[in-house]
Amino acid sequence: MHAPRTALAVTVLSTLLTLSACSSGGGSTSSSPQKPKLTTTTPAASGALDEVTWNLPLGEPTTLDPAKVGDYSPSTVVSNLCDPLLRLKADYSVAPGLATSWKRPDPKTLVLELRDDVTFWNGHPMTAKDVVAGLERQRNPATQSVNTQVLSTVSTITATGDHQVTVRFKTPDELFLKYLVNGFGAVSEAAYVKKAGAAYGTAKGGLMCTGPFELKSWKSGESLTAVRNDAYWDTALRPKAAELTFKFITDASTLTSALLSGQIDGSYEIPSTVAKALRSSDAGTLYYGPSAQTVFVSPTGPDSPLADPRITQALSLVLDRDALVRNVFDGAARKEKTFIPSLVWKTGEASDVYDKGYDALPAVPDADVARAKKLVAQAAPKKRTVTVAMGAGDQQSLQILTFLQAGAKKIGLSIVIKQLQPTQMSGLFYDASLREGLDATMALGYVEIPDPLSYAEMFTSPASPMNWTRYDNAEVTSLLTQARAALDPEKSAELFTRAQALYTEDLAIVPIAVPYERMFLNKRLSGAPASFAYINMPWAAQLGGTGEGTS
Amino acid sequence: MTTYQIAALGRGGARWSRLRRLTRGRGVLVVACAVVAVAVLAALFAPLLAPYDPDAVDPAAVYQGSSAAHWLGTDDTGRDILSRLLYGARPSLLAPAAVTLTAGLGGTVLAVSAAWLGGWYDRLVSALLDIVFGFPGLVLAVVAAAVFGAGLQVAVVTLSLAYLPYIGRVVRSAALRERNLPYVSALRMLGMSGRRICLRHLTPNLLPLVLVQVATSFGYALLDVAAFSFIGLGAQPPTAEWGLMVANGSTGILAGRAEQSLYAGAVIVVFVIACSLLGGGLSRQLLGDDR
Repeated sequence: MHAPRTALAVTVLSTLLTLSACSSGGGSTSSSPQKPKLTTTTPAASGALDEVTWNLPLGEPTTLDPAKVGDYSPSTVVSNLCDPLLRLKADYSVAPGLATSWKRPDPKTLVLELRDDVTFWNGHPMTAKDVVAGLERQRNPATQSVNTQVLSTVSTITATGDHQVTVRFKTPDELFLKYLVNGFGAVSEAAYVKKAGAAYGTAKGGLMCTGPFELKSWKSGESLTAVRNDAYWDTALRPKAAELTFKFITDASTLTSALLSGQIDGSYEIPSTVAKALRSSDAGTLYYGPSAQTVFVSPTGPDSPLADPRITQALSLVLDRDALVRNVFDGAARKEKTFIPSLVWKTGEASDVYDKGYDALPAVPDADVARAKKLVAQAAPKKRTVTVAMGAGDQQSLQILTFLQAGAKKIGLSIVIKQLQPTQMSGLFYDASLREGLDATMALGYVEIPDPLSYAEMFTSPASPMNWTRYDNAEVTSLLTQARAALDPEKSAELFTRAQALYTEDLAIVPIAVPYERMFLNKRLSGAPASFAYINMPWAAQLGGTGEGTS
Repeated sequence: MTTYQIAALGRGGARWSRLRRLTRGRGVLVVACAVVAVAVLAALFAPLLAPYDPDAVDPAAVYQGSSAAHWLGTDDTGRDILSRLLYGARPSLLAPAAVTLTAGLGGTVLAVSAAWLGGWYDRLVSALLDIVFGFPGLVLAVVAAAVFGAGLQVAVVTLSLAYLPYIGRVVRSAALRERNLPYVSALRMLGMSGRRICLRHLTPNLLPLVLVQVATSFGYALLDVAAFSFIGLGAQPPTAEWGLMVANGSTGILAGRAEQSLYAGAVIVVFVIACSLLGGGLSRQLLGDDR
């Protein structure tokens, strides 16, 4: 077995020598990336396509059941298969979807009027009963819906007509309507779901929805294929691509090679580490769009040294965020004052109120090691070694944590980086036992609905399963509860911003940056939205040919 | 010129001619020895040789090319690549050294005892070595990392186990031959105990073979340790280790920043080839094996 190894070694050496010729070589060659131009959409497509191959860089979905979808890969797929009651637009505003209109006869009642011309893929008509069954199903713990908390304010959901649904609330809830843009509001055929049982949304159980693409096949570990729904109700969005195949390439270098060679036509969530290679390619275009994603370091439990906000503030003060944006995100990110990206309120009715509240927050701190040392001295943590989890192979997180590690050393803290496999990493968010032995996690999260309130509640509400540090500020909880109950957008925004001013001071979290959406499209394609709104909109229905290239 | 000076010159000349005689026709072996020696010296004197702290990040100097300040450039967090290569020699050499020494020691003990005792014990040891031999080291490491977590220690323990049969099987065959030689029978007739024969005679006579096996395996163990770190199961960040450096630098390659992977990869390859040649040279010198 040694001879092949020697041959391998010689081959590797030859490859390395070739690479050295390709490398940019001597001298000081570090260049500052230019600030990217943001766009919400790409030029409209002009032609039809036989097939599009798209990549899911965060790996194969575990389920496509809309009720259980709450992550990048499944949402990217399901948004093209299952229409929600309301539709998210590329600018993060809300438009009618399967529900044409809605009204509130009183603060505790919401009446949704549904389209009467919609059929499922099997030709059966969509009715109010399907909508009611879909929402009620998510109330049942056995469903394991990721949206159970949305229904906490709901008392009854009833079909008050063939195409009318009435929701009655225990307390008024301004968030409910906004949640209808994602998997929570997606409609599946009730009879099919009942028959499939727990297998609904899996490779075995399949799906039955109304979306522009129909699930054709799912080869586990290999690919997932959807075909055009020729009877799609929204004629303006009838897909131009006949077939859509999803691949699951998670390695950044492999993905880049596949995109450059044309084997893969496009992908959202292009890793920042390979953006430069794709930007300069003539195989296609790397688009940058506004995003509702956020990168932060969050403590994993009340006993973590980082649960003390003085420690998180100290760590925040050792970071040079301008350098992070430049070096880690290739210039494609923005530093913000809180961990909630401002895009989520920008198109809302009360954006001025949110903006005013945001402007009043303390500025993003510059690096100040002396102040950070004082904070650590005041906090006097018992434990000075902090174990931070990150996804194995995530070079962006590794870079951020390496900078944080070096900064922490200056203030007497030691950071141990623990790389977890993707399933372990995603499991952290649902399974407390997987967080044992960890003090913090590097998180890339996103706000999938156009309202900051949902994300704030998730981290501050004592009842939230994501409130790992058991943060409990009665005033914050009260203000956010009132904000949720306020149906006047301006009043809700005003209450939210008051809560935001409070938790920004004492919530233990280290905001890093808000990265822009990065999408690569082969030159033969166009039409897809470039903003992060793709996560909840039928983006592939807009994809079409440009008449350029044949790859 | 004084008599003393002439005598000294004569002594110096004799030394040089002895060195020339010793290295004649062994140029490759000398180069291999020199490469290994340089790597070992780099590991020992890294704090004196490295121009920077290997973990010191510099946001203002990310992906700098070669310059007077950074001879081999900097990585994606502004760390000096040369300093990391020098410090990286420590875990990169220490881990395979631990692997080969453990496997060498364990393999020799098992092989000699099996050859000497024979019977069911020999069959058991041979079967165990065959079973372990059937598992690729990388597969064992992945399983071990899943059970015990990733880390260089886990990689070393797993690889030590994986390398055991490579040394054990060869040494056992030689020990069986050695056991049947007349001098062993003579020693037994003289009343020497089996333990004493094994420790004082049999094992010392097998040492050249063990040494050759350990030297040859060292380079491959280094390659395996680097591979473990490359896939995230060995050394963990921010440790400067050659395999981890290749992995960390890999995403920079497509962006035209191949330096980190390139230099770390080249160091691994050169060192592995040097070890392979050294093992071959030792085999010829100590065992007269011309293969």
